Amino acid sequence: MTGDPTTRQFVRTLTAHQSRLYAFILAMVGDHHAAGDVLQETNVVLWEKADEAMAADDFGAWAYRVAHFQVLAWRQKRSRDRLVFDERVLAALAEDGIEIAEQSDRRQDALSQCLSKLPEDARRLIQRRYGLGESVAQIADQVQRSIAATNQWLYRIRRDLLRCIETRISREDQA
Amino acid sequence: MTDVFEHLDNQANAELFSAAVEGTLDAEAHQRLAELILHDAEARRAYLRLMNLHGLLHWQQGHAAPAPAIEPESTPTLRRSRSVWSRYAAAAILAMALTAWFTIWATNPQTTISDPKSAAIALLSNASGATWGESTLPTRLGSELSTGTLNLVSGSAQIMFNSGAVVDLAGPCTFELIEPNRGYLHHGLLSAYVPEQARGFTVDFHHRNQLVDLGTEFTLRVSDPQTADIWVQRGSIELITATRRQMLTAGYGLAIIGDNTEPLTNALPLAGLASINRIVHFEDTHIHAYEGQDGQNDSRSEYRIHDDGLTLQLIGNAWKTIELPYQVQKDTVIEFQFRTDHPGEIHGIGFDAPGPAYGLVQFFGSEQRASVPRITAPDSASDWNTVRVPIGRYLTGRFSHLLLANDDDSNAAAESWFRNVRIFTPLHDEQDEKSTQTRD
Repeated sequence: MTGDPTTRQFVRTLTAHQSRLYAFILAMVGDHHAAGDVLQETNVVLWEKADEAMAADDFGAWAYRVAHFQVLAWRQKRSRDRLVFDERVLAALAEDGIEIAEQSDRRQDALSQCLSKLPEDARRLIQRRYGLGESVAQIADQVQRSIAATNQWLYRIRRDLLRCIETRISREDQA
Repeated sequence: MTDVFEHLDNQANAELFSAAVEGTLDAEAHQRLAELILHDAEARRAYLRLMNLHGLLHWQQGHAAPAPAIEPESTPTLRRSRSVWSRYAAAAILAMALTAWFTIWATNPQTTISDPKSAAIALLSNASGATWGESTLPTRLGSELSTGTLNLVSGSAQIMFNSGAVVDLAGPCTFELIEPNRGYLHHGLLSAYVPEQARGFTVDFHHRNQLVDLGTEFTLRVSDPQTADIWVQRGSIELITATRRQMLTAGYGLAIIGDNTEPLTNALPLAGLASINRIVHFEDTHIHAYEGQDGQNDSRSEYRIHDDGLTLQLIGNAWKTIELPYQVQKDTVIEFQFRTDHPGEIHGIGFDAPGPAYGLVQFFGSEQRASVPRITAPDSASDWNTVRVPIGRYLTGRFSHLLLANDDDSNAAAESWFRNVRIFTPLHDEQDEKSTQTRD
């Protein structure tokens, strides 16, 4: 089925939905490695049912539903000692999560702007945590702060970024 | 919105959210978070926004997730059926999802839109950290590609031909699209995944040579107008040169130098059998220090990449991990060529995963440690030696990184050259597959 125009259209649609699906899944599973795995499984299912997916009225809604099922499947496979949300929590997150996931492209644009406005040391911290994938403990060691203080610093930066993103988005909506 | 920020600022919630993002919740805190999400709609919205940001940061900074490992355990029918290929192609194509592909949107705002009049023969289906040089084709992700040339300066890109053949390019690379099932590799590294329906997919190189695919997976590197290397990962291909036609099967590597050829690696016992096979391509962004060992006590630790990413040189007291998700099974083998002019204490290879789990097997070096298993090694390594490490005998399970060690605590003067590193896992019958024990 690869190669025909429908497939190309499918690949394009799926590509456009990747960051949204990823954000949607991450909120439910919590861990970004797990979110990557679940996204991969979701993509495989979507790929295998591409004809069905393209025939659906709303590809996004269909894709989120598949992702939700894949999260449930992932949950089943998880051993009991791991911390995972139960089905009710996952359902609540799925329901509200679609709305925010759908804004991911806009949020991404806003994030790029907001990152450039961060103080230099904060931007470096984000780069170490996300760009280099360093752990909080590693960073704490390097910046000679306690792990708790580093956690708090990171959290504050995220909160500031979020405030900046929300402000930009609501300003856009009003414009 | 105000309420959302009240939740984010509220100290008790902030601690919960922060721990949730960092994955450090204990059971009791996890339960509290679950209750909060379930019963407080505003807190739920705050949590979702924070996780969305967390996800976008991972995504944007390129660490969203590893490229998909092809996992035999999840595809017990992997061998030889058509569905295998759709799954393979899916995995290959959807690798795009898992890298920060949209950096290309940011770095190439001036890219052109394809001329609708010229017939599309392929699609640019992925790009990761791609920088483009002068190309006659559009380089925007998702572009329809007609005949023409793509010039990839760095990073990687993926092209899906209309035939179904999928090609990964690693920069620096110049690739020309010729027909819906044919391309020309001017120089650089190319990996092709060719499903049954695209049988006959052809890559030309050196003007006079052709590789004709017979339903397979292969890698071709054209280094200069006289030299090229070929590896066959699955199935078989036919090499056609001015003087010969030769069938190459899985597990085989061949170097072409002018009109001559020489085996690059010995055909493995598993040649001809299907196998899961990866060639390690070294890139700066994927190489990390192995904490606790690399450059220990401020000793020297350096690495250099050669051969367009096919050779890695380690210098000093260097332990490096290379991002490479792989499901190691009991018969997984790592094969590579190795040499050193400055032997160190331990020269080893293995796999690493987040947390304490890692495994290293020593194949060369003067020191013996109880904690590091050792295989029979060459006496001397001043010239290239092919080393085959049956890594699956020592560790199995899912790993995220390849681990290379050039250990020299006392002098930090050791050196290792790793070339053509390949990882194989032979495929089994369904029955065998089930009996394979892997660690979760």
